[in-house]
Amino acid sequence: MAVTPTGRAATLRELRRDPGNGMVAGVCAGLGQRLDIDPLLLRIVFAATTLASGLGIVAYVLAWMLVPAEGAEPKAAASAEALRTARNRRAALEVGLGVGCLVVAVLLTFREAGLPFSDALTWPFVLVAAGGALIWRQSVGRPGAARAELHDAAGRPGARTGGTGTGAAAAAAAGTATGIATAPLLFDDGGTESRPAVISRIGIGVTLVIAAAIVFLQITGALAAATDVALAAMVVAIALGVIFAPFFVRLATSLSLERAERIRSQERAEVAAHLHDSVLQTLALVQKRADDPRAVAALARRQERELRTWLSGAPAHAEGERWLAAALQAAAQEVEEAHGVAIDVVAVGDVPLDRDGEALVAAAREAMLNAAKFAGDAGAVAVYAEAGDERLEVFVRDRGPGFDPTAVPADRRGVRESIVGRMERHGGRAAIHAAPGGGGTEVELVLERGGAAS
Amino acid sequence: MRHARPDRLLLVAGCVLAAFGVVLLLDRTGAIELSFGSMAPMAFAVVGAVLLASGLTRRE
Repeated sequence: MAVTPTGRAATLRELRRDPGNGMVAGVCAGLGQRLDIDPLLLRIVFAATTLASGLGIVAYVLAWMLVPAEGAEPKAAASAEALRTARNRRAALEVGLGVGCLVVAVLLTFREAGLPFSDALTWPFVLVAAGGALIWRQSVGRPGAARAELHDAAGRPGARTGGTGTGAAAAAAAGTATGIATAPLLFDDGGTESRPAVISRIGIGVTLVIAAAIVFLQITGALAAATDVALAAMVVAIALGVIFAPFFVRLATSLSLERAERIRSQERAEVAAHLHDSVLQTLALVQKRADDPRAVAALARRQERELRTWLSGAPAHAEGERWLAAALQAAAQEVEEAHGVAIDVVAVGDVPLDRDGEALVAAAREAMLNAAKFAGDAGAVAVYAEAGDERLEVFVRDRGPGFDPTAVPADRRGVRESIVGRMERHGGRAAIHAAPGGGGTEVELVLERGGAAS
Repeated sequence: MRHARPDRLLLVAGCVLAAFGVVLLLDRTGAIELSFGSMAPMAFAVVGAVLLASGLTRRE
């Protein structure tokens, strides 16, 4: 077996400041490393442009603000999820500040050009923009958050219940306990923030928008008239609320039930895929090695350990970050030992694995198992993995007799559930390129990284 | 396979700073006359564009 993580350096070559080797903030040192230039030359350029026009210092401060320092992000101990959250928060902050600066630039330009705009418009606009951004951010959430929540619920039995129930049961119970689980439907926080934080952010947003309206009405002298209109509107709103409240409650309840059912169905599929990959495969191996009692006992012990670990909700592997190349290598080694078929793994690029990445590895392991079982006599199985900026790809190729994927019986779940279904549940896709009659089989697994590992 | 892609943040920052430099050069040559009133929004626009590009590039 050969593993070639040739591209890890390529994925990690983002621009970073190097304060350890720098004179001020490490901008020149980091830039020098990235461009392979002596930092002294860059320092001279910055100093010269600073003395000449002052632009050097502006550029330096900008770089200081924008370029993260080496080692600033959470490393081995933090998960890929935490890293992604930290990056997204910083990105959101930068987008907000950037839009703010551009708006200020436009307003100042208007003022300089003598175009008529008054504080009656400016300040309400600023307040509405700030409040609207808060509410919008909270209600829309980040892409993939809902899927991550489903994964949390359906990932493992007992994952949310401390081993006393299932994720779906927990979700349903949560929905019942809170009356109606409308909050996740309206305010999708991706399950990463506490409820008080979500509510306070929404509250601040609503307050800012109301304040903007009051400021606008006050400045334009329409506050008194607006109070009467607001009173009338409130009476109408209360009346409508009383009339339509039962319908809203029913709608929210049905949405909550539908969500719980979706989670339950995902969990069933995950359980089926896991049982297929572990218990059924072990039983097949036990039949194959029935004449070797020691091997059968070892297989049974290993399966028992794995199943107990899974049922208890603990991760099947040791705590800590797993990387794609190492995980594929481990899976290949496991299949090699069980079936005695050589598997060559080549990995280009590497990333830490999150839940979706783990599913990709599990699907690849299942493809390796199939290749070892049905095409092991035709030579080594080849596994090629590539971790790019936008997607993770794994190809499992054998030189066996090939098969017709459409002719697989409905009760065989290996390809349908453990590979194709699993990839689809985690936002990816799987394609089987098989040529019956000796053309071999290639399983292509693709996971887009929009909501995957960073 | 991996294709080399330009760093969007550095591209935007470079273009914006180059444009800023051209404006300063025009001022220097007397083609235009800059004042604090026109420099301030320009500076805000430069910082805003770079921050926006950085945020959009970093977002996943």
